[in-house]
Amino acid sequence: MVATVLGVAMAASLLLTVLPGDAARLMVGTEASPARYEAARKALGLDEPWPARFGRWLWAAFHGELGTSFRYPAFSVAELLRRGLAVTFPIAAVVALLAFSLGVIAGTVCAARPGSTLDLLLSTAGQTFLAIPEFWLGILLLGLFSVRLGWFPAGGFPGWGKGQSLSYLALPALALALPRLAYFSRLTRATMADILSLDFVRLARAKGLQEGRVLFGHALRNALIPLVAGLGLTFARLLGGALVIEQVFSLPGLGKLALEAAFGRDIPLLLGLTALVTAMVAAVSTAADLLYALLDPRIRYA
Amino acid sequence: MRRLVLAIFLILPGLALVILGAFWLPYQPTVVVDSPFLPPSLSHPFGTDWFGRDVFSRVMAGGRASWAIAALSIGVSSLLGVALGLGAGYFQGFWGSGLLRLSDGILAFPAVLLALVLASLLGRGVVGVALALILFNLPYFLRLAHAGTLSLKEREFILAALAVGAPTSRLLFRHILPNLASPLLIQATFSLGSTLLAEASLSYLGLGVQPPHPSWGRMLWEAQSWLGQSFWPAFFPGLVLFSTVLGLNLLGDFLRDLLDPRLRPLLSLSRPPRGEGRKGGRV
Repeated sequence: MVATVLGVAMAASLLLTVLPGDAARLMVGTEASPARYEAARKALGLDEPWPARFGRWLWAAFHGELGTSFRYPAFSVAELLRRGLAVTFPIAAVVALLAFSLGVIAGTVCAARPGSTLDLLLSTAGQTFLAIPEFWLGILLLGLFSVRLGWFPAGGFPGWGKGQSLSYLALPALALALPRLAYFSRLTRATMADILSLDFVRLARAKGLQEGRVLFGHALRNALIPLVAGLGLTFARLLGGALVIEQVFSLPGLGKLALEAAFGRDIPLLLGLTALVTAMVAAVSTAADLLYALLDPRIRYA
Repeated sequence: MRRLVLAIFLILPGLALVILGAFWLPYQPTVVVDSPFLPPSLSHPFGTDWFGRDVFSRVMAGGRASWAIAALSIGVSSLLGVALGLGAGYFQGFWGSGLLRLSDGILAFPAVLLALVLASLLGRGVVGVALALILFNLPYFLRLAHAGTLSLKEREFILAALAVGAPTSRLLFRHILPNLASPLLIQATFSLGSTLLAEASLSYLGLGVQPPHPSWGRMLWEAQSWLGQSFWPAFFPGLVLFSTVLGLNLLGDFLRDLLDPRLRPLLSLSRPPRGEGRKGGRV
């Protein structure tokens, strides 16, 4: 896990050094004198060779120091990341949990009665939300709920603790949750369909268990492993920042930060972001792996 | 069968508009032709936008780039992925497993971030986007061809071909590849849909086709700031994109059920997590 984070940070750093485009040039402008340009390069630490720069970054990173952003010199990278995470993390957690729990229930209900009206209805809705462009869904929600009905603010985020904070996050969370709900419901339905034809399910029914216990107690427990894998992946992707949805609702999350950093060649910010996102993804997938052993006693880790 | 009809019904109108748009457009897509914010009418089926440009013509012209980029990247990545996957599956060894590791790495990297990095390398234009989408799709074809080749090469008919002295190239291209055709076709259908979506998301973020030339994603980004004045310019480009992607997904489902019901573990969803379902694939 540590090796993954280290490797990705190194690859990202190397890539950013090799790529054309020059942060110092962006900072002083094309009209600046060579002396001012050199001074800017020196101030940003760009005059050093790559190994020295990366080594220094690594040393500082171990001390929780990620440097200062090129574009926002008033803020440290750690501070910018903390602010982004304060928006991205709650959304990711709520969306992943909401989509997972509702999707699993919907998928189980569909798998219990394949071909029923409810199954057809939910499957059609699922197909629809899997194909809908996320940003179009966001725009439609904006058009309906904030422009037409005025129930929610039309994007932006005032920060936490201002009373209305949650209402700014409701629509983006909904736009992110609906396609993921459809995904979990489809995944559950497919997995459950396989499991419901197995012998132990027939046994559970034969010994007279209620259908609810058969479905949610016996069958679903055995379907959980692929579902938890899906949950881990979804949560990890969401933590990386939902770039497009954050852009639709102009939320100051990690995705918007990544977009600005990439367009502005903000190397410290991009490096810090990559390291943070990779660390979070690695942590989430390790947690999912550990969960497997909890869910299925046949899986053991030495 | 009903699914096929529905899929054709969803894909064809949009595709026909895009193809027709290459030869004939009702209005110049980049020119103001009427007053702004007209609702849909006979002379402007999708209404007009904030400048007074015809949205219908812009949708027709905007789809060209989306379809061209998506089709090109699927073509390149499927050819390259299949070639590499066949080789990796048949010869295995150091290079084979190295290729698979590399493609796993690409899969783990978020597609949009990949495109952003390439955009800062190659500029915001079409080339960077196409390259990002090729890289993004390559692993799916590579893994599919690799898994299929691994299981096919142990089968008796390959042994028989080997016994009568068929050269390796004949084994790969005449005996193994044709057996992979249907899973690859199905994957290509799903990938086309997701690539159209990805291209639109990237052009929504400002990558790819640059204004004033229209593209579906870009049109939605611009129309969003005028939502208060008119809903229609933000509605139609998304609707055409949505129905195309939905149709392609349905077509993929149909092909999968038609060609081989046993493919489910290999192609469980259009973009499955790399969980349990995918590993034990058998062709």
